Amino acid sequence: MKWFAVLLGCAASAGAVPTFNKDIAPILYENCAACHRPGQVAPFSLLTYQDAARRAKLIASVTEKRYMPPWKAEPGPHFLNERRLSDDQIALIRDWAAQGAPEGDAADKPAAPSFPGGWEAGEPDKIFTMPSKFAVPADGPDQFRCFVIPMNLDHDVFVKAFEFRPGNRRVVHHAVLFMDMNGASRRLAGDSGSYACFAGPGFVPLGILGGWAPGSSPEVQHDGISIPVRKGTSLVLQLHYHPDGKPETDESSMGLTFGEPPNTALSLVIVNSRGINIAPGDSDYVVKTGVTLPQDVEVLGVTPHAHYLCKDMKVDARLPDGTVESLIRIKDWDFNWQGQYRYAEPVKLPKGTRVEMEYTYDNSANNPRNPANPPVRVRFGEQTTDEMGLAFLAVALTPGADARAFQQALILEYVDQFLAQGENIADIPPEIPPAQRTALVMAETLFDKDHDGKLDEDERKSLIDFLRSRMQ
Amino acid sequence: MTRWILLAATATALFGAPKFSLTDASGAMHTDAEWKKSSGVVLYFITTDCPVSNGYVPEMNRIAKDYESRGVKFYGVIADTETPLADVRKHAQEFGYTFPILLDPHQVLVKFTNADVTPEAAAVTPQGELKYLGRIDNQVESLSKHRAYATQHDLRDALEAVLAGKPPAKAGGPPVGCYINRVK
Repeated sequence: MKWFAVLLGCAASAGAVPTFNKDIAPILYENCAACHRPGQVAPFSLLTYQDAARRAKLIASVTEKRYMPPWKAEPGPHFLNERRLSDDQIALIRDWAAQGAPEGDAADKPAAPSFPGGWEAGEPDKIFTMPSKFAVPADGPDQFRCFVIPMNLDHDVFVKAFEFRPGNRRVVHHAVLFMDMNGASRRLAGDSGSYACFAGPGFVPLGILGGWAPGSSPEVQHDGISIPVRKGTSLVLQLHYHPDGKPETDESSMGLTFGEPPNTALSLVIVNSRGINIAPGDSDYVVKTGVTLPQDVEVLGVTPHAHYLCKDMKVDARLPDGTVESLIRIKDWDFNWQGQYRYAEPVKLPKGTRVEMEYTYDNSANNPRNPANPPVRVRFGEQTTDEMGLAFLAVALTPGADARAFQQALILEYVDQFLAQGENIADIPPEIPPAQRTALVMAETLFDKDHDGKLDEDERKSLIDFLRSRMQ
Repeated sequence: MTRWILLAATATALFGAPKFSLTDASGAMHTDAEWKKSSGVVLYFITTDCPVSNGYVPEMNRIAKDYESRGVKFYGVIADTETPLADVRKHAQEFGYTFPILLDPHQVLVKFTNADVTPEAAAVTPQGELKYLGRIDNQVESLSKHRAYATQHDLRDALEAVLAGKPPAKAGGPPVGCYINRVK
């Protein structure tokens, strides 16, 4: 055994053998312990040497593949809650596992991280809980469910902080909290208080109050920013459940903290490609589109969205001076790890900046995530078997800016884009509600001067000019 | 992929059929003599805390239900040696395995099959000859890539072959899950 120790000694002089106490514990405590501790969302704790050493090979493997910690965005812009190991950290873990996962000198061991109990963002002003327990079956496809929670507000409020508490950490995979003002969600839910909803909430939401995925912290808005919520609003909590092998139930809740009205208007910029039409077998289908910003903004966060076939996402900002800034890049998009990426510092973009999106899809049989076997033609739509290509940008306008003018300019751009993408009336996606579909068909008919069933560039411009004149 | 097949073959050649007496989560004793009374044996290597392994419990039970009527005996084998008995008992009860869950404190069965991952399945003849070691099916392609439904059922195919007295095909891909911590 002694010669082995000598060999290890040689290795140490070339580059010290990593130990748990000196090298590995600091990495685990900083990046993993928030979830990998007793009672949290991860399946096992990684706080002690014994916890980590018996899983050394697994830890080395999942960090090397960057499956853990779960962080899909590539290095670039800095995000809140960023949990990404450096190449050096990954190499340390790999070497530690390969050398038999030594414990090292107790004197080197850092103090275990402490996590305060209770609400992380402080006691909330109001706690909302799911209307009833939801039963998750032992196995089968993941469940996507929307729960309608009336807020019963007697006055408008301004949400400063949002904290989600999964009721059953074994099955709650991620959460998005939408706002509904007109009762659409209650009609969808009927008496049960909830309904199946895969991609969006099944109606056009008034806004998004927040999201949650394992490892994320409470969402506390930057100084001067809060999210207005009007009296009469219902919360619609969309939960993604991943069956864990035995029947489970969940009753999740969330805490909202209210504050002062924002000193600037918030808005949503939607980059959306509706013209998706992917032939079966196509492993590199590219979708490109963009939106030009009608005013200066500060981008607070970005929520990229697509379904199972998307593999690569790129959202860039092309500034008026020609420089290009990355807003987010995801090289291995995974529907199961979607969520909002909030910037550590808001990203300032001047008027005239074009937000460009480029997403790539794999509709071949070689993509295990492909819901169809064998592959079938896939078009734009909200169902599991459809695809989407979206990026939501949460933006703050400059104080005093005309928020209404900002939204109107964006809406005209969306309509123009839709008309440009949809070649003729027959291509209007079925997801567009009947009332809007009728309005669009009528507008197209009115402005289709040469009666060829579609709007060419001039006809489109006349329609947009007409709409603009009606918006004053 | 051929590496672990070869290793498994070597392990069988070196050690032959295992001699063991192991207790299950309910305290009952099981020995290799039980195998001789079967038409074939399936060992599922599992741990209490591997999400991939846990997610497969319903399918493990379905396969057991389908093949027990044809004389195949099924066992779960706790591949981790440090899990407290109380945790194993609680886990077995919560997940509702329909077959005995063996504790393997010296990894006799892990070493016999050379299983590397949980969940992983071994198919063995009544005489203790290892015929198949590998994934249950292809639903989990990698930790981050899951199919909605499995399209290849490697273990079921292997069992059909074993019952027909034919050599099973190799698994169509490596097992995916949590590495087994081997003890000396």
